[in-house]
Amino acid sequence: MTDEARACYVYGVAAPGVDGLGDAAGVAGDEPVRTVVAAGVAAIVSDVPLEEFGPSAIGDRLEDPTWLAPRVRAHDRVLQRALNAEALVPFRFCTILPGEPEVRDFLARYREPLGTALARVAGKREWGIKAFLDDRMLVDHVRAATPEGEAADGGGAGGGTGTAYLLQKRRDRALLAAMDAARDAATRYCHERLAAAAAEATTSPPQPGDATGRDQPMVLNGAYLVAIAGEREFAGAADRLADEFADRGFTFERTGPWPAYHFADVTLGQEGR
Amino acid sequence: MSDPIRVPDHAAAPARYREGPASLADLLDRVLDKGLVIAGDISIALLDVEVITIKVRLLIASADKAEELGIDWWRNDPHLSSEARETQDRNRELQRRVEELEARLGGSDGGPAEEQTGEAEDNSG
Repeated sequence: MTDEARACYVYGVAAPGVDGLGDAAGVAGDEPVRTVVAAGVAAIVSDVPLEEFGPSAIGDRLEDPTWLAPRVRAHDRVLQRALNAEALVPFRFCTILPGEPEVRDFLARYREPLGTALARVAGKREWGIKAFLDDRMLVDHVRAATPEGEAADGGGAGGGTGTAYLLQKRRDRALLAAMDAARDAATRYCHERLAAAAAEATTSPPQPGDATGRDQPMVLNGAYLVAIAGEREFAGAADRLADEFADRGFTFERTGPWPAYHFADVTLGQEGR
Repeated sequence: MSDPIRVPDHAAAPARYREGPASLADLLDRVLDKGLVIAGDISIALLDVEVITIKVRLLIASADKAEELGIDWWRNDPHLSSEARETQDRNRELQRRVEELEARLGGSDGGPAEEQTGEAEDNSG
């Protein structure tokens, strides 16, 4: 085992001319982050010790949050520094090539798909919008909009308790169905409005409460690829939704700008089989 | 017609929606799950996507729990000059959180998870 053995960790590719990487801290401590340019594309890389990142070493580390979390943050931090590039395509965590010559080969060999991926995100950045729903507020809204809702308050005492119970059950069920419909419609509407102000849009499964630390469930977990020139418009759309849906119990959270992680869904290198 | 719209400036996070630092869950979702992939015959350490996603799902919960509890090891920035005070603060905070959590758990038997993942598979080669 030579602990000298090193490989090239690739954070992503950018249009040439990316700068500001000089003092960025990479995934492996002090190793400087640099670019490797070939075929008109710049790969953002830093050296990593194989002892730590090699195929046999990495499996267990992934399960160790104390190893993983800071490196995931470092991966993103480096790419954030490169957001000033004309175009930036982030690579998945732990994309590692044997060395600089292989990085150059890779850039040359996949010049075309890389160019396509770069063109797709050129001049754009990713924004995240999440919506959370306070059911108690939505229920008021739905009740107010449902005629039977008013009757529900007065009509309890009439028949026997059994009948009243059944009636109540039925009303509860109807209310739940109305709630589901209202939630789905509102969520879809919000996503469509945001997507209309973006170049591309996609949704991911809502994060569980464990991950958000919030009482209200997440109902929308959207990612939007927005032209930098259109960011004001996009922010305006989000503002208007927040206003429009506040009284229905929706709150919104915005994150970004991100490298276009959600819009780099390309796999290269499988044709050789 | 145009009211002032704020864009990427984080200066005055306004009323209508929150803008915070990205959560660890946001980061893991993106960095581990998204992004361009180079297949295994080129890349030397391509991660098995399926495996990693499952692991990460488990991890998100535990990692953010840890963050919630103040065990923010990944934020160990080198500005921890006054370590003693910090530790003291942290202990106090931890104690408060623990009490809070205990109160919240209340009657439910929230034992520390029966995650007996079962047979220890030995896949040594």
